[in-house]
Amino acid sequence: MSSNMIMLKSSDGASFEIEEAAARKSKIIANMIEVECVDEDKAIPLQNVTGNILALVIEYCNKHIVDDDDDVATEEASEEEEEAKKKKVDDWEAEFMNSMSLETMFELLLAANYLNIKSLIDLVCQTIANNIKDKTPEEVRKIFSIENDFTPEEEEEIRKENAWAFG
Amino acid sequence: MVKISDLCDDLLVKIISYLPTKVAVSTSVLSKQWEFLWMWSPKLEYSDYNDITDINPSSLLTYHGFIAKNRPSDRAPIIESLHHTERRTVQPEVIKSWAEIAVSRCGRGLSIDYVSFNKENAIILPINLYTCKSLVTLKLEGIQILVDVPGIACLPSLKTLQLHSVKYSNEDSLRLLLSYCPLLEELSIERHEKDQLRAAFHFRRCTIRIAAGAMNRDLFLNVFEES
Repeated sequence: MSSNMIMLKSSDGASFEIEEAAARKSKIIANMIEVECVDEDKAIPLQNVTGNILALVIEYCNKHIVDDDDDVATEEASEEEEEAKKKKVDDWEAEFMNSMSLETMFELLLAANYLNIKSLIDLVCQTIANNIKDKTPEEVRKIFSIENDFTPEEEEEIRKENAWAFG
Repeated sequence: MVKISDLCDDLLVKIISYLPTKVAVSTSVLSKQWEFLWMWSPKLEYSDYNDITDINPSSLLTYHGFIAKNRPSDRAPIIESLHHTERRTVQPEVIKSWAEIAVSRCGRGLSIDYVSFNKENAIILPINLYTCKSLVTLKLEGIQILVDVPGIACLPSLKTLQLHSVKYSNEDSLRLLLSYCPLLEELSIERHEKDQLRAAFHFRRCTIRIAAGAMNRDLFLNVFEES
């Protein structure tokens, strides 16, 4: 495996060194590497991602690149081993998401979307959905600071149309 | 400060797609931005058994009216899965039209579990379901569902096929259905005593798992015969 390192630079000027293999988790960066617009001495500027969020993205990519390598090395792994490994990743992801605020989650989601890292988009969306799942619309509005811009009549009409969903 | 309203609609739909359909529909009331987003969700799962807690006829009617009216027709670009579990009064045409939508929108998963007290309510699935290129999972359950394979079926993406207590139009239907499923990994069949299959299939229940890996497929076959 090549251990080429590349540099990423956040919108607030922080520089991060990351293995090329990990950085390739981002389709955008992978494309840049393909078309060779990555200069070895220069950092790739990421204008939409701040340093603290980029650090999280890199932590995620590093973790998952190791897992991908494991997959190749142990192709013959038994079903139990596969399951144990999957559980380890799931536990790590749960812990990773657990440690951040909702606001950080939204920023991380925007960054993952900008960098086009599909598995990270899925993970954050799933986690946000879990925060919505068992709550009433009123609670969801409060937690996510969603402003209710319906008139009482409009809201009543929607509740009537979709009555079964509020039962 | 970044808020949920700063996310683009695509991301909000993605979040909604991880919600149970009932909760997804309830997000319509959050704000104007959210009102129609759930309709774009590529996964929809309806079950009148679970979704409706009070079983008075009027709420059932409203529920089935809702399903008939809110078909995902022109909305979700690709349907990942449609799941129907209906045990009461939904019309077979509604279920059929949903199956048609799943096929026409390159659906990846279709699951129908249908029981009606009205014995006349047979569900004849659309013919092009049996040649659907995108379908990965197909699960059918209920003796009112008629598997009527017109000729040779061709399901090049199908990995999971479950047929529980369905009716077959003739004794050859199952063979025709299985005629071209090169990626099939999991097949589960439970037979109904009046299912029309030829006598040669003399099992009641059968589960086959084919381990993935194209060159060397291990085949595990469990056939349970009941007296």
